[in-house]
Amino acid sequence: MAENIIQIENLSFGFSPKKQILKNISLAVPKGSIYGFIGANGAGKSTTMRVILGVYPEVNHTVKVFGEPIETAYPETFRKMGTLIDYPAFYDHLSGIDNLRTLAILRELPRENIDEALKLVGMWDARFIKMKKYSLGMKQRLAIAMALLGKPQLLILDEPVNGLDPNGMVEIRQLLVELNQKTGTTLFISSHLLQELEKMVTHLAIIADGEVKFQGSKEELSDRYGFDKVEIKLKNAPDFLKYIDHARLIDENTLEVDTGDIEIIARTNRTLIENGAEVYRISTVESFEKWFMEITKKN
Amino acid sequence: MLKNLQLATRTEWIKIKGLGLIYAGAGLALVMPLLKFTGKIFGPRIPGPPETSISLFEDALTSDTGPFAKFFIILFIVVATNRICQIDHKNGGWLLMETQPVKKLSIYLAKYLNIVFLSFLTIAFFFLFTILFTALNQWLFGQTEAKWALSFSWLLQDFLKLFVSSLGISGFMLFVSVVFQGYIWPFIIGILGLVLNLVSYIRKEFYPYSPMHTEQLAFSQDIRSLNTFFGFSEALSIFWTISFLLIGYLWYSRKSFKRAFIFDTKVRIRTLLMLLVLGSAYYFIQKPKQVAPLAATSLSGKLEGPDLPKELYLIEPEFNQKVATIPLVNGEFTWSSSEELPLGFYKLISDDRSINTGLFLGKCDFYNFEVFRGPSGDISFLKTNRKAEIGLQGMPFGFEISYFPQLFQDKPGEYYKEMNKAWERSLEKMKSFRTAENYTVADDFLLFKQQDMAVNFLKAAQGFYRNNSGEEKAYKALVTRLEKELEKPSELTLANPNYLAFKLSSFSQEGARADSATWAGVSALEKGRIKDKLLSYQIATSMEKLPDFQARQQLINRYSDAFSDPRYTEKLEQVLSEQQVTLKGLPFPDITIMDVDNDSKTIKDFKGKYVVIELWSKGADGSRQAFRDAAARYYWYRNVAFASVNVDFDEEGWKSYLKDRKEGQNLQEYWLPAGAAFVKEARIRKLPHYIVVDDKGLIHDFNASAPDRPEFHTLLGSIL
Repeated sequence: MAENIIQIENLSFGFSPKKQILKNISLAVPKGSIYGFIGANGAGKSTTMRVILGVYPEVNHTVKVFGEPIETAYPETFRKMGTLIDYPAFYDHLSGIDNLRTLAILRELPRENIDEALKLVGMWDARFIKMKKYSLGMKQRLAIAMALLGKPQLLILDEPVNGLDPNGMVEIRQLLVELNQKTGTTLFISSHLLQELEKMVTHLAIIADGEVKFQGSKEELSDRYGFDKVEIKLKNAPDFLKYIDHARLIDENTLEVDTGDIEIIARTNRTLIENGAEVYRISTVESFEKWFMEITKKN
Repeated sequence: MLKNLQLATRTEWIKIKGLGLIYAGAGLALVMPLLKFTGKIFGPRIPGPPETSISLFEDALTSDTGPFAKFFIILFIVVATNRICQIDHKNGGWLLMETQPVKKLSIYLAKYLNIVFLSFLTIAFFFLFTILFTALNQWLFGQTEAKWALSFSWLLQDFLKLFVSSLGISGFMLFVSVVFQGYIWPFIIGILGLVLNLVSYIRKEFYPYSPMHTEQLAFSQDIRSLNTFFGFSEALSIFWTISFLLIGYLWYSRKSFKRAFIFDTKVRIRTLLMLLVLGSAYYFIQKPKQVAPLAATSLSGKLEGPDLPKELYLIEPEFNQKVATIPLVNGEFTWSSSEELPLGFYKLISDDRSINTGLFLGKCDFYNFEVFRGPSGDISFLKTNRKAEIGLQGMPFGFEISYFPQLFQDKPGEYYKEMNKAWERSLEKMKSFRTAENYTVADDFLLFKQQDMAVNFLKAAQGFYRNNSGEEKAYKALVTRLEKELEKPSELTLANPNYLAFKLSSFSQEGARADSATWAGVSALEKGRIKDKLLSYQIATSMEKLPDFQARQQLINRYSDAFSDPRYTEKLEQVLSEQQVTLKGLPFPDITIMDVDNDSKTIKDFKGKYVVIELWSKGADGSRQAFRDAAARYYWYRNVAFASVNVDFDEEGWKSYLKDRKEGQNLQEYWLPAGAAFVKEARIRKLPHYIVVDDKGLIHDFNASAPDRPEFHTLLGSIL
């Protein structure tokens, strides 16, 4: 069994006993994974992350990091972790390099780490500029540099590409994937930008209304909810439902079909034509988006 | 933990870089010294500190520490704490810090330590600037020789008191600034604390429940007079520090009030215990205390200055007799006695000066004096267990009854109702009185003050009743209530002139025969202690109205057999012999004074005019303007002359003093050689002193009122 860097079992949390924000959450983040934590705004992502980080006090010993309960693990275990929660946290009256210095002192890190982190995120030239003069993208990069400062084994990032332009998003995503692949750093990333995570995660969990609706590897999600679907627009859709396996009627003119590979798409199309269907369009369903809507929809 | 705290503190220090807090502290520390300096440049050139000053720097620091402690340092803490916390509130700084390998306690404490260090720097700046500007002032504008000495222990105590008293304010403001995330609320709360301090200053009250009040408590009296190095204000400050660090840390680390204090049963029990411990500690710290008296009555102290006496005398109040002769060795004296010492207002004097003429002393009390003698006055500091009594003595309780007759004219019902209320209110204030050191008044003194106040209320009520009829029942109820207070007059009350005068007046009816009725009343009293006191008081006050020595002597002789204690007759004889020197109608002593042109003159040379004489010294020259104003006012009256006579300068010093101030043109200025000897011989206790000599060169009033008093003008009106 793979070692889990973060292990949560039946976590419930709220600021008053009567009103729980997180309800019985269980998560397991395997070492070396890129773990996506997906949820709409207000679903409980940031609260979960804050509890994992010990910022919000959890008294029932339900959370472990690096195999140790957070009550005892922190603050020492933070040496092995880098974080970026909510939005870039920084001191805007200080320069970029002074912001990194504050953390380097606390972590007892040498100056080289600061220089290295600044170069890694492309902020070396702007290091002496006060952060209040930084653009949002520059702030985000520096925040990532702050998270990477101690060469962490675990990076916990909340919306890490928020505020970046499209190129910046690609760059940071590449940086994080490279980091994972080269150093084996485990990434625990939350986002509501589903396409962003879809392309990089190895594992994911979906949270809605304080409850985890799904967690597992990408393959497990595909197995459970069907991976690859196509939407077929045709005339009199209900008449053709009987000819096709794994199909569902969406409306009068729409069928949704689970497809394992492109052969199944071709075969389905042939069957429909052979039975006299007038097919207007075959298109793929946006997988994560669709699943996300399904999983998080309320009763 | 310590290393963790050290790293967090270093980090916090970097975080305040660029906030300008050190400059802000230096700026606030500079305000008072700079204002004074600017005042010297543009304001009138007032001479440097008088010779009675202990130290140039100590004077400057004493006068400036008050405003700095009560306003500037608090303002700095409010601003700095708010600013320091805002940088974390604004951009997720708390979260950033809390996800680093540092404990939350270290983060919270590190912030506190930085605020404390900044306060320390600001206080150090204040001391530095005050000393530098004082030296600069003296160098540029000093007109007399200054005393440069500075006591290190005094400086240390002043600094530490300022610093320690600020710790609680820092703890409180950190708590407020962390809990309230916006900039506005902590600032408003801080300013409200300052406003409350201002209210307390105006109302002369102490608010120990305000955590912002500790600095005000610490500097409500000169630190040389404090009984202990650290006291009530510092204990309160430490209490607030611990309380708010604890509450603030719990609130901060648990992220909400609910989670910190009332989340579940366990947390509630912890909160309850905390409240219990902190509440008890506060109760015991703020509970007013009476200083424990010693096993024996003790007087000690030291005198510094030229021409120190060889011995001091302790004089008891009843018969003015020496209780003790206390030798002075190298300026220091110590005396103690386990004998019964009747409670009263004693005098501690030397041959030439009084150290203290109202020493409230009884068995097992202690007084420690620190007296710095100058040629024209002493500066003295007093440590004693009777601090509260001294403080209470100067408080105006029940003063409002003086304007009640006008306020409630023709409304007797309301008058008596308000009198009752005023009595209750004053009594309550008297009982709850405490000093800045948290000392409360002993029962013996409280009873004395209570009875003294009852006399004043009775006199006021009776006066009102005479002029306003009606509401007899309410009047009688009030009088009965007040008379009950006086049923058993204490020993102190029996020595109180106010009570004795009231008691004597109660023998007489209103009208022309009032005086004879009083004599009849007091004569009819049964021989004994009370009669002795009343009779001696009646004789002493009546003597002042008699024109000459013989008439006064006859009065004493007439009643000498009426005393049960013959010492009262001796006391009256002594009073008479003292009066003889300065008695009205006796020739004014034949002294020779000199004017600025070196012309000699005697008071006889003014014959044909009444002469108003001002005797002043360089340490007691504050009323000279009032005297000059009076001289100008009566300039056109041909039968009165004004003479301002200096008694302590040498001739050149006196002339240069007048020249520096461009004085002497509008007033007849004189200098009395060997003036100090005349002051001593004439038993003048305090300068400036005013004397009126009549047109025949006889004493008209040896103890005239000061020219800024209405009585002075009444006197002048009677002779013009």
